[in-house]
Amino acid sequence: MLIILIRTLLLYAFIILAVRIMGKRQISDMQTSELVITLVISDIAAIPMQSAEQPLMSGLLPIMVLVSLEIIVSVIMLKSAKFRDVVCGHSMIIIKDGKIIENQLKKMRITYEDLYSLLRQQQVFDVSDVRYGIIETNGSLSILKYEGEQ
Amino acid sequence: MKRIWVALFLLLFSLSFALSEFFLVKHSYQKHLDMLTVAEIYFSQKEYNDTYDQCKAVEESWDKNKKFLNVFLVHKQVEEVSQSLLTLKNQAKIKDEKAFLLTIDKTKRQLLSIKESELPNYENIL
Repeated sequence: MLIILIRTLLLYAFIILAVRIMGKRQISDMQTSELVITLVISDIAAIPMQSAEQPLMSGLLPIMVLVSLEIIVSVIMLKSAKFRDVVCGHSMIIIKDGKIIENQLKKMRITYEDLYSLLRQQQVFDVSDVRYGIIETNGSLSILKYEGEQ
Repeated sequence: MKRIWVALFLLLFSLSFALSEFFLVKHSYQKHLDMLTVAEIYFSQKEYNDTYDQCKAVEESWDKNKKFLNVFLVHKQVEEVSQSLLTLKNQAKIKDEKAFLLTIDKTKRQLLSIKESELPNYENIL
């Protein structure tokens, strides 16, 4: 139990350091890959935390590799728009001039109910009030209302 | 840009660590396999005192390596080999031929299993 306690403290400190190195982002602002990495890191850390049989490095090593790859990928994404498109995808217009673009909605696999829910979260209750609606790469919806509706 | 250097350093460190582990395990396997082979030869020549001394030497060598191996490997695997070597030493002492041969074979397979589980081959990766 003492081993598990010490390991938990060490892994906790290591995860905090890893997340600090990766940089501050709110979960809602994370790209899909960043969110996946964050979740995977927590799962990996749990393995040596729960089992004293497993060497501690079996948790630390994959975390180090994931953090490094995440930083390297984010630096490459800064330099290359094409690479960014491959990793994160690109934003898509799904509402234009007050009308929902159905085939874009189907491409994104978003239902009408999901879209209306996202609109309501932006205090929009009528699609015709929206000039442009864009689904961002992190899944959030950005809207531009008509001038009178701002 | 500082973060990229941190990332590269972490990647390099991870790679060095993984390679060190690979070579340490490989070296340890070969070293102890050779020592066990010598013990087997002594036993086949009915040199029981030499067999016992050799088994004791293998056990001591493994116990020294254990500290490093436990950093890299599942502790149970390392402990199983320790147990087998202890049993082997005792069987050499009482000159139990059948049991000795079975145990030495078992120990060699345990060492081989440890080595093979660290190889970056197709089966292990998948």
